[in-house]
Amino acid sequence: MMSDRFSAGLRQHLLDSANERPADGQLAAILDRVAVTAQRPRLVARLAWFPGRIGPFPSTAVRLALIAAALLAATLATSLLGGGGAGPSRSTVFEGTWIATDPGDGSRQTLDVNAGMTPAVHYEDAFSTGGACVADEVKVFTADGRGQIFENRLAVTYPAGGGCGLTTVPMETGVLDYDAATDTLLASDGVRWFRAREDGARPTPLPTIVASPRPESACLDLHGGGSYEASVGSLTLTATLPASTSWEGLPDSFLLSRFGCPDPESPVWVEAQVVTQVGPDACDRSGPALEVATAAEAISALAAQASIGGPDSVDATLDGYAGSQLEMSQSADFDASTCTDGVLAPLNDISSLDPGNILVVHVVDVEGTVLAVAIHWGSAAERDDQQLVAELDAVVASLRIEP
Amino acid sequence: MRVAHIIGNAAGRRGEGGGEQVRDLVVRARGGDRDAFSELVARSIGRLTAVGRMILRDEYAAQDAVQDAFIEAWRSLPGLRDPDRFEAWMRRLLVRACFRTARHGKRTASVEIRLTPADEPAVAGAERHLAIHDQLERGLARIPAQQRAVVVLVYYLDLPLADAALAMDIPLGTAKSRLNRATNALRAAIEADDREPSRVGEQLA
Repeated sequence: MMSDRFSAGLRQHLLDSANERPADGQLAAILDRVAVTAQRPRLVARLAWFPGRIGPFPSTAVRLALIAAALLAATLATSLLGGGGAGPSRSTVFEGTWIATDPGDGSRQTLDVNAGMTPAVHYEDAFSTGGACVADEVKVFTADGRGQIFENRLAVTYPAGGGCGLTTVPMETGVLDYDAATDTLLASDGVRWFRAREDGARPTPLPTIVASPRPESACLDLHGGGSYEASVGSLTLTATLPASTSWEGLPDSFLLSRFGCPDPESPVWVEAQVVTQVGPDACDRSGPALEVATAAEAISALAAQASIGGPDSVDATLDGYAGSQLEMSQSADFDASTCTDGVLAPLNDISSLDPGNILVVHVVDVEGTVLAVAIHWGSAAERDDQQLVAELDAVVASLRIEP
Repeated sequence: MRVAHIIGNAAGRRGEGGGEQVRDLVVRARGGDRDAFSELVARSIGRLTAVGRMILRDEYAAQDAVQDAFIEAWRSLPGLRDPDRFEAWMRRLLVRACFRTARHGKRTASVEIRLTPADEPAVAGAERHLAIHDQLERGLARIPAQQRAVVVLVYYLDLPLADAALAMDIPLGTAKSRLNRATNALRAAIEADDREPSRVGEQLA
């Protein structure tokens, strides 16, 4: 009983003494910082924060065994989907017209998906209430895109954006997962799409937001190898990935993870960004950054950057475009807590350099655009894995850049 | 447990409505909507600041930790798969930020959180009540921040020990032993502090 009464007394004490009143200006200070802080790309955010993470693999052999098992499972799943998914009149399960209700305003949305593994896709919102159509009399928002099908996932990019006629706005990549049990598509934003009936009738009523299950990941499965394409500013980058590995990639920006989206314990990934500025200090990024117009200027600024230690650069090319390569590392005992946002980041738009990490950055000129492609190594142990190094080198060497 | 718990809710003392609305805010904020995130901050800042104050026992350190936690939340929100886990996620970020702040010893020398006005005239029973509160406060001030954290999570937020362990990134067994050490230390502190052990014993036993 003593324990119960002590606990009750302690609980009551804490409840009585709690001060839940924010300090003056505390809320405003936080919102001010949020206003000037960018969100991390989805994959990077997941790598930086992963609730319920699994432990590191005890050895390379175990890791490879797990990857092999995953590949076998993926192969089996592919055969099952391929065997039973597509009807006789469709080349893929995605082909056809899909209907959903816009959760924002209840308007009808339509998605027309053509045949093939990279189908042409037409999106239409019957009544747009967003700012894109504010000047248009007719509020029908349309966009034409191109899809890529990976097993039961369709990722659609809209290179020309969309709009109601007067204005065109950029469109985010749409990711939709096919649910064979219900013959529906579940979008990454939680909206469920229903197949339009053959007689032209549309299913009513249409559910809007689906709370669960939600897709576990918006990453593209690239486990079977092949080609991965994503936009980087005005450039389009394509990488060729080897089979029998567990690469996954973001659909809406160029970011490839070697060990699959949900595994942050072996954080080896490749990302690409256009570089326009380099800060004078990788840690304190509160000051003005230096504008860079060429790869040479970017490399020079990086070499002079404080808190990194002047990394050496060597000449390098990407897809024939000339530039340099430099390797940056951060010792495991470096305290980044005093840095802006608590991280060391040589290039603002590239993943941060956390203690123990190694960042190999290629910077090249692509017809007036400075392109950075970075390989992020989670630790020296990964960097010393010669097989992995060779694989990453091959991926970077496979890059094709379209201005 | 739904998101509504942490959003303006204290240990279940207030209503649990608005979960869907909060979920919608989380989904919007995850997509980059700063207004939605601002609303989430406004709804939860008081509660999280109270937790930070209890763990760190320093007003400014607590404010720093809460700010760090919110900024980290904003940056990493795109990686949050399940919006319904926002509450637990935010809690974990705050605890991490508190430990980081405590490790760096930012202003943690100052321990000044007054509970009840000391100069308030004593009324029947109030003096004894005040003495116990003072002793608990001194006890809490003496134990390490990591032990205070588990006490706050379990006794103030009313979390199951497993959830507290998750928030602190430690195994359940570690959380159990940490809580045990904390409560033992609090009892010992009270006994050492108390000039009249039998009276305190009466109140707590």
